[in-house]
Amino acid sequence: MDPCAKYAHKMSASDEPRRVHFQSPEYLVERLDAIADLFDTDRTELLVEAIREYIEETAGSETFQQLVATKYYDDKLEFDAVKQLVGAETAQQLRLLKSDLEDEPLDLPAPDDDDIYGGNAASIATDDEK
Amino acid sequence: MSDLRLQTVVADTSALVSLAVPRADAAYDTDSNPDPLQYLLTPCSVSVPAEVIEELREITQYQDIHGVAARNVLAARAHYTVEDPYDNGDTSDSRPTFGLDDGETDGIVLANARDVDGFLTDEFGGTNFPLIHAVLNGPRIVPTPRLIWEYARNDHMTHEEATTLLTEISPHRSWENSPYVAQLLSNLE
Repeated sequence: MDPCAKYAHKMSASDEPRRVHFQSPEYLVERLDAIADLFDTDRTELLVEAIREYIEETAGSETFQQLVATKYYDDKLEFDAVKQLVGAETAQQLRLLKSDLEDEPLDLPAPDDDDIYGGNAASIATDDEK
Repeated sequence: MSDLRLQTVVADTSALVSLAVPRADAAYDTDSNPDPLQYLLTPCSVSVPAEVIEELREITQYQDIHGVAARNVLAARAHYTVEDPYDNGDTSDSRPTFGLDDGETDGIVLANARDVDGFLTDEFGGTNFPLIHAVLNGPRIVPTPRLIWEYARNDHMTHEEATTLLTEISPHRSWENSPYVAQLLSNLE
C-alpha cells in the first residue's frame, strides 16, 4: 500500500474546492493550457493532479521523512505539523522516539572484563562492504 | 530512579547482531575499545526466546559481517539465558498475532511474562516501533543505539567511544540515514 495516496486525501481538512490565486510564468500557463486542450480537460484539473502527484512523490521520499524527523527532534516542527506532513502513523513513531531522546538517563550497571566469547570470537575484514 | 534501571533485559535478534558488529569487524579493536555486546552481557541479566537462537543460526550462514556477528553472539551463549516465553502459568500457550515476526513477537511475550526492565530492539526505524511500544506491558522499549548512548551517559565509556561505536555499527545496520541516530550522535558531541 502506498501510504502517501492515503495521506494526500487525509491531509486536507475537507475535499471541498477552495479558490487560490497565484502567479506563474506565462509560458508555463500557455503550455499547461495547450496540454489541457489536448487532453480535452481544463487547467484546474491538470493543476490539481500535478499538485497531488507532487505531494505524493515528495512526502513519500525517504529524505523528506528524514527532514521532518530532524526538524521535529530539533523542536522546529510542532507535532500537528508533523502529522500533516507524514501522516498519523509515522508521526506517532516520531513522537515516541522524540520522547525517548528526551528521556532521563537509564541506570546501567558497569560491565566487567570477562571474555564473553570464551576465546571463540571471530572477525572479518569489511573494507569492501562499507 | 528505579524505573530507569536496566538490569534485566530481553533482546531481539537484530539488536544482538548490531551490538556484535564491532567485535566481528577486523578493523575495530575491541582490546582497546569497548565491545558493546560485552557491555550488555556481563552486568545485565539477558534472556532471549528460542526463536532468536534459530534466527541467529540462520544468519550465521551468511559469509559477511552479519554472519560473523551472529556466530559471536552464539559463542557468548553462556552469558544469556534462552527461555520459552510460553512456559509460564501467566501467559497463554500460543503465539499472539502482533503483526511482527516470530522472534520479535516471542521476545515481547517473554519480556512481558518475566517483567524485565527493558526490551532491546533494532526496530526503531519504522512503524513497528509504536506497535512494540503498545504491546509491551511494563518493560521499557530500548532502541539499540540508545543503549550505546546510555553507556556514555553512565560514564561507562567516553562520549568519543560511544560516537565511534555508533559510527562503526551504522553502515552495517542501515543506521546512517536515521535521524534518531543522528540526534544521538549530536547529543554525544
